[in-house]
Amino acid sequence: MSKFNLKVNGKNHEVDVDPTTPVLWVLRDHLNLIGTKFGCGVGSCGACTIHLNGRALKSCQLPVAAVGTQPITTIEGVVEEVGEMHPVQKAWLELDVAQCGYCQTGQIMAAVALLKTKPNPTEEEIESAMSGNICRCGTYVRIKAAIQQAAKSSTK
Amino acid sequence: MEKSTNNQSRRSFLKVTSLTGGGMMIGFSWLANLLPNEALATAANANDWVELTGFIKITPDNQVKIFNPNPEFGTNVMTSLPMMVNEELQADWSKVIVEMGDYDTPRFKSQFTGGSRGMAQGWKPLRTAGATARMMLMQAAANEWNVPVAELTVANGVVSHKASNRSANFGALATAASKLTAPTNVELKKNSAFSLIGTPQKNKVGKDIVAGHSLFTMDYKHEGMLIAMAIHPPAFGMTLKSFDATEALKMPGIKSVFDIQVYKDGYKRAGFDTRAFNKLVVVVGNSTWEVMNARKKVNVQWIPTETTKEIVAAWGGQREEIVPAGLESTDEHMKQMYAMQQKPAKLLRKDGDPETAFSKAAKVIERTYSAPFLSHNPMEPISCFAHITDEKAYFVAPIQIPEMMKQNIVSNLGIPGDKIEMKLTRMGGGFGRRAYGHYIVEAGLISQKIKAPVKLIYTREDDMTNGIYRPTYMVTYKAAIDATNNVTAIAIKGGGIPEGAVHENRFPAGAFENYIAEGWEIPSNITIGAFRAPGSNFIASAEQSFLDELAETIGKDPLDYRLELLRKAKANPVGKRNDYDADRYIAVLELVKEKSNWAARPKNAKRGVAAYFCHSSYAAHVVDVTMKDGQPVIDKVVSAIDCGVIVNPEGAVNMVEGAVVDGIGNALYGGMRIEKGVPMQKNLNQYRIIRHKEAPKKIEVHFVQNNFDPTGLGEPPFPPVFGALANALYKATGKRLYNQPYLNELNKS
Amino acid sequence: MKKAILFISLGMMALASQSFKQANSSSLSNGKNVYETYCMSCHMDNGTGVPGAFPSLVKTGNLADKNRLVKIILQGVRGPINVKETKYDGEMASISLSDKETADVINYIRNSWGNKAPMITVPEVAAAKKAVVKGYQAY
Repeated sequence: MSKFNLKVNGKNHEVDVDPTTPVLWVLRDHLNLIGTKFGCGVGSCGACTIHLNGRALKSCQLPVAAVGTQPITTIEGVVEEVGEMHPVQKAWLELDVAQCGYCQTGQIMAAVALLKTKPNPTEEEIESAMSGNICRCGTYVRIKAAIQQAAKSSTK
Repeated sequence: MEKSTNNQSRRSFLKVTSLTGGGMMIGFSWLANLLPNEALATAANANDWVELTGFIKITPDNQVKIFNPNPEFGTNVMTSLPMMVNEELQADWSKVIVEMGDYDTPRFKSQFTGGSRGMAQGWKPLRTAGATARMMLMQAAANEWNVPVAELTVANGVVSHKASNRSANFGALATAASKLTAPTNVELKKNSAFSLIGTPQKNKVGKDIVAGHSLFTMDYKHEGMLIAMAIHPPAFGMTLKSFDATEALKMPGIKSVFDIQVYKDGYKRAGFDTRAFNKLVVVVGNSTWEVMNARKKVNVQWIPTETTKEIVAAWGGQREEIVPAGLESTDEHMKQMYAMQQKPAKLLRKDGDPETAFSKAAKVIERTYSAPFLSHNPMEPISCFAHITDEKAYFVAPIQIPEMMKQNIVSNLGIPGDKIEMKLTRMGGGFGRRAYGHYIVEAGLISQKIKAPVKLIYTREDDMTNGIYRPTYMVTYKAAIDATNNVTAIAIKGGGIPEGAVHENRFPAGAFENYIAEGWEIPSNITIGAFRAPGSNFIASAEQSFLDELAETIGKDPLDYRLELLRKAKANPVGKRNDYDADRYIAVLELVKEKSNWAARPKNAKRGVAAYFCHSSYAAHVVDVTMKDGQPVIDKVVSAIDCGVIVNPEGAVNMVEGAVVDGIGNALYGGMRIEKGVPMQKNLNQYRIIRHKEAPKKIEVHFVQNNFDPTGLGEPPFPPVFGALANALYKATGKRLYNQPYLNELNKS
Repeated sequence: MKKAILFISLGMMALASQSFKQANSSSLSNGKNVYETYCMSCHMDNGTGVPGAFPSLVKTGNLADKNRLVKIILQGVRGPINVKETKYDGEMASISLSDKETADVINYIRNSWGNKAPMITVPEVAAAKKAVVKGYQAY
């Protein structure tokens, strides 16, 4: 067990965990941030997607010891403006994307990161960027449409 | 660290209402202050809720809560079932709070998520509940104002007496209404008067989903809760002999390691009591990662099982189930299934004289189809919370059919039925897997043993190698064609491990004078369970591929040939029982024909069609594909569906889209290979699930408009996707596909 | 006559070279797709990985042995390993890729971000897989 100082969603947290603990479990078990989900544990499904330094990353295989001072953003902290839903979340609601909903926070995190680097992605770019996120219920068509809508409506 | 949102006081609840009323709280993330949908409602003083019928609660300050009785796993019954209630209740839908009901059979009568029955089962009872409550509220107003009920009108949660210019909202009337006797003669609206049903409505809990709130059992937390994981045999046909936990117990955070027997000796299993392994080694600790590490250090010895014969309850009776010993393999299974095809099988149906027709045939076409075991792979791995004390057995569980678990829990945990309390969480996918609640009993046993609250978590590997798969199947279709190119007989023979999929009374039965259907089964120790449209999900692929090939052989358009057969079955149905309505079947084919511009398609369009009827609804798909670098690209799917009255068109379209994607994914990639009892695909890096790039670029969904009572959409659109895809791939590659997963056949040179 | 033969054979070489280039670019673009689906979320879209967690793939000198790369994809890899003097002691899960996908993604990785290496072929991958696992058979 070692102590780590993590910056998550703009706040500092101290945790005392085994250094190999994946960030996913630090978030879920120790910081009570359960929005980031467990789907496979081998970096295949994307349900655990977070942002590290603003870049989308799967947290189920990222040991907490490797994070250092790099800021982590989870679904609980993804906003563009204080007090407002992120345009991606708004689009998700307007287009009624979710079925069971379990994969959606991971999808949203991947989508937010995509739009940061590619504010107007083509269909192909969306498919590429999002291919690491599985939706077992098959809402891909809606996810794509929601990303396109978020891209259009983004105030930036 | 922030306080958990569940501890918000009433004062902060009021803050939230002013927030949702339009004011912005500066400096707060909207997420941090947004209570989960249910917590918002329960944050109000629990004593304030007035109950009207089992489904509705109203507060004096006019909050209206409607319960959803059916566990939710993505079909959005959280929205559509309360819509049924509110159509009659007539509260302001935009303000209605929906809440997942607890396991409560006396209150909800039926809480059955499966078989695509939710819409049909809820249709009358839920509207009746809404109408009953509305009548009581109206009566309360009539009593207070001393006017006849007939002079009152209701809209948006307000009862009005226009003549005297008086009105009162539901909140003001609820307490008085709750004291009245519920009327027994309740009239429901005519379909033409619907103002909510049939309008597209957004998911009532959408905000909770996109915010990542605690919705799933995996997210559930409880004071003092420990984490448990269960180690099961590495292969079917093995069981626990002994284990050594010395190393594991030394690891940080670990509380105990012990074994459990899931079902007691002599327990007579019912239909949904399937479990793959009856003896498990359990590791209990403080946190997930600690338990994951410790379980790797447990040394377990496994020994082969013996053949068992059990009496299990079956639909309306019981049957003997043989579970053979041995380590089974997919290659062996294929050989066994081919062998069964050469032997006589059980006659399921015979019309006319197929033997003579075949002996006289000018041409016989015979094709054999197969498909592998499939793993359900819902995104949320199996999990369950249990806290068993002397006072009660408290569960937080993701379970499709809670009432089916009662006898199991009572028998195997020794708990009286009236002490069971179960909170039903949203499920991160089900597809049939979560109808089998063995994990509830497992969690209960663990809690009893450690005398503490515990959450049992299955890792993805635990889940994927835990059986309860979709069976593996094989079927042969044969057609006799005479010299004038007429199809004179159809023969279907097939089965599966451990159960078959031939539905002898479904189309094309009824369309052929000479028809024979036969079936067989091979027992296995690989456990199986219902998988999205059980049986249908395979047989439709074979049937619809065969009809396509048959049409081509006799020189007919595949879609028109289906219509021709259906018209024939309608005009002159053969046999005593044909489980389909030819008119409705024709209607979806004609709708998909029109919407896909089928007749005008170019001669070598890379396009396939299929249609099927199961679980009371009809579905037809037309699939357009292109091949790119030897891999299929699904350009477009046009779907035509008949599910009667559509309650929530928004959710309905989503369901069809999802079924299309799911069907393509399973058809192309799905398959669990077994080698010497060991499931070879253990995680999602080995078991391929369809991803963004592989999904259709465009899906267009059309509904037949009619006034039939609503039927379901969870399963019916799924089975015909496989055949439509196979038929499209034939046009795109010249290759007929017979064995799933189709990608394997496509990739063979 | 000799000139004609020389001209024809030069033409054939040009054709062969062009179809070779096409095959290469098809492998690279397919490989990019595979990379984005399965590798990018840890090794990052520019191959740099996450220091201390997921090794870089950029000019590390570790990508020369194609049989080793095939093995890593097929069976996963567990630390400790050293990449560019940084120690990594994690685990990469195996990834079920077809022979073609394996060849394509290896070609993509070994020819991106400044990396340069000869293209490998599907038969080479199939042979490497067989050498790694006796009697290897996909589903």
